[in-house]
Amino acid sequence: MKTICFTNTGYRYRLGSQVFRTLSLTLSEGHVYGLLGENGVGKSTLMKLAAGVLIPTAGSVTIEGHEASRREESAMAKLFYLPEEFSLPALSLDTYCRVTSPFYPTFSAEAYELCCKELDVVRDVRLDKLSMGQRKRALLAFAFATGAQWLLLDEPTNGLDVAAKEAFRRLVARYADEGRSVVISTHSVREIDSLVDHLIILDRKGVVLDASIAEIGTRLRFGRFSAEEHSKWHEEPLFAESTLAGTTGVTVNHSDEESAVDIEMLFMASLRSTERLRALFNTKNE
Amino acid sequence: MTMIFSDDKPIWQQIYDMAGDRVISGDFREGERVPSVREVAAEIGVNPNTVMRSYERLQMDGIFESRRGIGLFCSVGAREKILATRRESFFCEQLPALSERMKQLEIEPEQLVDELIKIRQQ
Repeated sequence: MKTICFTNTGYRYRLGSQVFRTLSLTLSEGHVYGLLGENGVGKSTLMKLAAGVLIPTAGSVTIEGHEASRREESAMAKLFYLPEEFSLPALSLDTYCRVTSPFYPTFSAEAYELCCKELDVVRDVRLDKLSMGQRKRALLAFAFATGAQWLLLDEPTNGLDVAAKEAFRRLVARYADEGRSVVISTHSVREIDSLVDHLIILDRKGVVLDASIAEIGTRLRFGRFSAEEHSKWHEEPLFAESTLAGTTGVTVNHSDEESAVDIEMLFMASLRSTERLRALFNTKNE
Repeated sequence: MTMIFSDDKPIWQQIYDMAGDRVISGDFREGERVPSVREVAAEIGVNPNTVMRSYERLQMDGIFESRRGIGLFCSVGAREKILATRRESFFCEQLPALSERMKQLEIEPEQLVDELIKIRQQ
């Protein structure tokens, strides 16, 4: 099983705060991970550590057994990291691709053509002359063409229009086949609905929840519920809000029936009932 | 085109139901090949593992069958199987709910039958 492993990983920015103390987390092949958390909890730091851009100040991060921070060519060729913000060289995407693609043994020219078409990419204009949305689409097309085992995408849908967001969904769904994994961090949780099969929620103390969508739907119930219903269980919902249509929210799932998972509500529950969620999913505290 | 899902059922179940609809409508014909997991995932923009869950259940329920090395096929008798399951759920779940609703609105069964016949004739 191919994995990226965080083992008791700590990270402290030189002039800033401690982001992680003893983070332990395993990413496995063949999944689409959604990485959620409020600003500043370390979503981008986590990706940078996996990509070997940052060196952990404690513990280790390994990509398929290789220490990420050593940036060995064989390990780096298995991973493509798309930062949230990036500056690009004064090259067109086609030239950039010619220069960079040999680094990825899994690169496919055929996939490159297809991804450029699907994302409607401008290929012959210098990347630094393109708008933010155009640059993002260009780099995404390249990312999907690398065929890398691990795609780490930090806020990939920021700045994309509706058509590009749809193309993005299709490309991720296609990519995640064949045992490859995609990690997506996002604030727009609606955009990863039905695309991810595993969620990781972080807060300032570390991991709040690390579970598959199937497990979440088995342990929690999402949707409308009546007051009598949860008074019977002698427990508060993890999150509830009243709307015109009644009360909707997240409760513990006491039935045998798997619930549909509403990622937005789950995220709200993780903010309101953080420790209960940790306990329910047996998440180890740092 | 990506698919819009409702929030009352897990997504794998909605894909399972959608496949059933397509068997009933004749879109998927018995004995013919059906799209693969990856084709469906890419087409509707859904996680392949989720589509896989639907497909596993479809195979377990004898709606689809895998023929080694060739792919997945719609089983012979699939349509009748789905219809039987859905009819059962209609009579055991939906009809009692409808009956409750009719009581609430004070509608007699005879009235309903008359209206139904009218609708059918349109």
